[in-house]
Amino acid sequence: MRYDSLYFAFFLGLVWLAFVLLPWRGWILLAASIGFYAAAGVRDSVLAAIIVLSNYGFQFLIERDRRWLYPALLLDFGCLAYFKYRVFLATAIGFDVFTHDIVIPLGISFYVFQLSAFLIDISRGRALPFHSLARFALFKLFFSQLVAGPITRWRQFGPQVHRLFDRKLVVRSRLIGLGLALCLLGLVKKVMLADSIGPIVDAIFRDGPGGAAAAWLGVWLFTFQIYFDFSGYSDIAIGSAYLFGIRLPRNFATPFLASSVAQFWQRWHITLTRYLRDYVFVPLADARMASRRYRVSQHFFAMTLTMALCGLWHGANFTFVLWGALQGMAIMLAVMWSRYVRAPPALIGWAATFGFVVTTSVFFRSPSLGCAFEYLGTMFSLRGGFPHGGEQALSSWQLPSDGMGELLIVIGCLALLALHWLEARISSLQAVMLIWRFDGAFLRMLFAGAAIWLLLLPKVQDNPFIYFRF
Amino acid sequence: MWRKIGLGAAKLLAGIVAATAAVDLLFVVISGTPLRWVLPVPPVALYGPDPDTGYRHRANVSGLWLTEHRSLITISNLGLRDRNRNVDHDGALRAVVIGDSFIEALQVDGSETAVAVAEQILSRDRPGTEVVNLGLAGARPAVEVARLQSEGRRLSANAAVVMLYVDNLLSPTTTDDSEFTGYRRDGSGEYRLSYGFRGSSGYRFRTSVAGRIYYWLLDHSQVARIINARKNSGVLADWSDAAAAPAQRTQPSWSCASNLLDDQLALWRDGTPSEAHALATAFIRDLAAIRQSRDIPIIVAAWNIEARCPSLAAKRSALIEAMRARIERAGLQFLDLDQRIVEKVGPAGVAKLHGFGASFGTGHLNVEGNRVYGEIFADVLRPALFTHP
Repeated sequence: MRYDSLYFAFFLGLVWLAFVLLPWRGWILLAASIGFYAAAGVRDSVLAAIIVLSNYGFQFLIERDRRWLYPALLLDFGCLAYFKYRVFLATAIGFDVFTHDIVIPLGISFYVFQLSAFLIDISRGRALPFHSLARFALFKLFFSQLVAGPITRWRQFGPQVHRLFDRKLVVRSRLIGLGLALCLLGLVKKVMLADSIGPIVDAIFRDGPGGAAAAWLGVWLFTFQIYFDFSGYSDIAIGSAYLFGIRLPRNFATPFLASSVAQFWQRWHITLTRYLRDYVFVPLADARMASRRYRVSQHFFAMTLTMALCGLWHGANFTFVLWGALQGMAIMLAVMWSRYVRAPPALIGWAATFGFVVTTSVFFRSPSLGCAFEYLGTMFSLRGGFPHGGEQALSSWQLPSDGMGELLIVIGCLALLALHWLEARISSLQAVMLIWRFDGAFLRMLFAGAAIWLLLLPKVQDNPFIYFRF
Repeated sequence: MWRKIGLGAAKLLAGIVAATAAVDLLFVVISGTPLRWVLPVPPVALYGPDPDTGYRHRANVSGLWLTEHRSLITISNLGLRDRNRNVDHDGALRAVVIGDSFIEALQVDGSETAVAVAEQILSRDRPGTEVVNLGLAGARPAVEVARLQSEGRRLSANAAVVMLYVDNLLSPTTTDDSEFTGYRRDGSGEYRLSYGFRGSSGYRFRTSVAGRIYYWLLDHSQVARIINARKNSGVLADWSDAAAAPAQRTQPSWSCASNLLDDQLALWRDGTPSEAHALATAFIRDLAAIRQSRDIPIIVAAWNIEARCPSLAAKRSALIEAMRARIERAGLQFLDLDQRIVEKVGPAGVAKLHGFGASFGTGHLNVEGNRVYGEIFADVLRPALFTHP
């Protein structure tokens, strides 16, 4: 069930009505979440049920003896590896046994990470097991963040689940206006921006760019497409949770305004970055594998490996691995730079960071390393004229051909950056306060009505959320 | 308490009205600026009721077409996917081209359609010559005949090209007249044009005062267009995650399966199935009657008979000969359109005539495709127009 669809809006409206009118709030959200996931199909539902039930059992064993963590993680990541990476891993080691690919179960990358974080937290004494299966199931299956995050920790979400079932969760009415505003913002990003950019990106990457300018245009647009797509989804997830009084962690904080790569990753897919930091990087960096002399090298290695795994999490392809490894190396270089060399002016730092993010996006989007390097070659070849409306890849843009078309493309690209800057302004505390101040029937209906109109807009091309496939 | 409820309801209503106005304004701004080439906009509602064919283009309607390729569409003063022109043509030669969405060519600019290209070429040969686009998305053989009867007569055409998508005669929709003109059997058992749609509630609504108000709203409100488009595609159309694109025929992918032409060959050579055979007979009979009554050459352009497969050459040749014989026996002219296209661009070049952007190679005709088709239409219309007495 997609968040940018009318039936999700109906579903959300019905669940919200039941939530408001009936006293069994936890059960209502659990039933809705099960129904939501059941729409993904029997196979996905059965797999999710098996993982939930086994993890429910493992939490008690881990509480008693932390060594049970290993079989639990083996099961979770084994499922992930089997469904998502088996063909990739088999091919990588030249073991041609898995000849057919299978569809990745919905949201498996996200709920496996969430569950593994929970189990590790229990083993570290930072989380308490759920004695109620219903509460545990809601913690794992809550429909608002089930499919593509945010990846929530026990300390963020667990107590809220308990309060829901104990009827102690207070749904602050001012959260409703804010939730609807976030849903609208997410839909604007997804329906108005990401889905509009997508066909142009698809065309450029499918046919290969005609020249350097078209190549830069393609990767520039893709960078914004994936941001608008995923942050739009996250806004809807967080906003719809607000409708039920549940606060989910923020996942994006205008990352393209970051002035270093490290800062970028603190603002991009924040919950994944924190997961990787706490459960992968820190254990690797702190492990006593090398003497103090080599501590920097160990950190460098740990960061590169962590981010390579981050890349692999995004997709079973060496393009993602290289993309992640490059991010890791850049983070370490940025950290070392800031330690030994005076920080560059903010504008230069921002430009270098943004340029790096845009350039490395080629690996994220390309189907293979060969295609990626070929694309990069075109980007830096300085050959080919400016893309124009007549170019096949850009033929959906019927722009004037008297020079105005080129100008409009440049303006459009810069406008995306300006929108990002604007988003930073409207996501400010002042804007939130303003919504709270004027919150009421009028404002809520304004947001909900505008969102419904956007959902009603017929789709001319199927554009599922990009992160749903991860 | 009632006052409080009333106030709450008023605020809710005001919120909905404000949201609607804001969204309408947003799309007005997008539609009026170059943003329309990239950002989403509600699709234009081009079609209205017509007593002859069930539906047709509404005169002077203008807006963006979104499917496959964005283009700014303006329907002509005569209610055609064509440039503005007078009904009378003062003795100048005029041809009409009748077909479905491939001829309608909403994906390209009005001056780039195959028909417009043919007109440009022929008017260079003989100034003032006109070629009028009577393309209408989804037009089946019965609609084409009805359109030639009504519009061809109104425009006093001197020649006509009628597209025959060969699979249509085998399709059950050809006999369905619930939404547009179809072929139904009459008392004598012969297929005749049938207008069952005229009694349908949808048609009655569209031709009523309420229907006129509805069309006025479509022309003046962006949100009305959103509702209309959603109504057409289905409220929950995206349940299956499939794109809610309007149902339009697209160019099938290239296949040389050995049984590819079997059904067509059975129909045209062996006369089976009998239903399809009777439909083909009715279609040819009606076109022949128009040709005879108006004394104009009518060219039946058969297409979607795969011409890129050497392995099917013998079967194809037999099929073409059977079609040609039946059509020419009725006094009509026959055009093997697929063969002409392959002769012009080569087997490998055919796919390049279709699709846009990421879908290049499949779908409706692109600008180049329309140019090639336009040249072929000009070639076949030239003798029909200029040498016909």
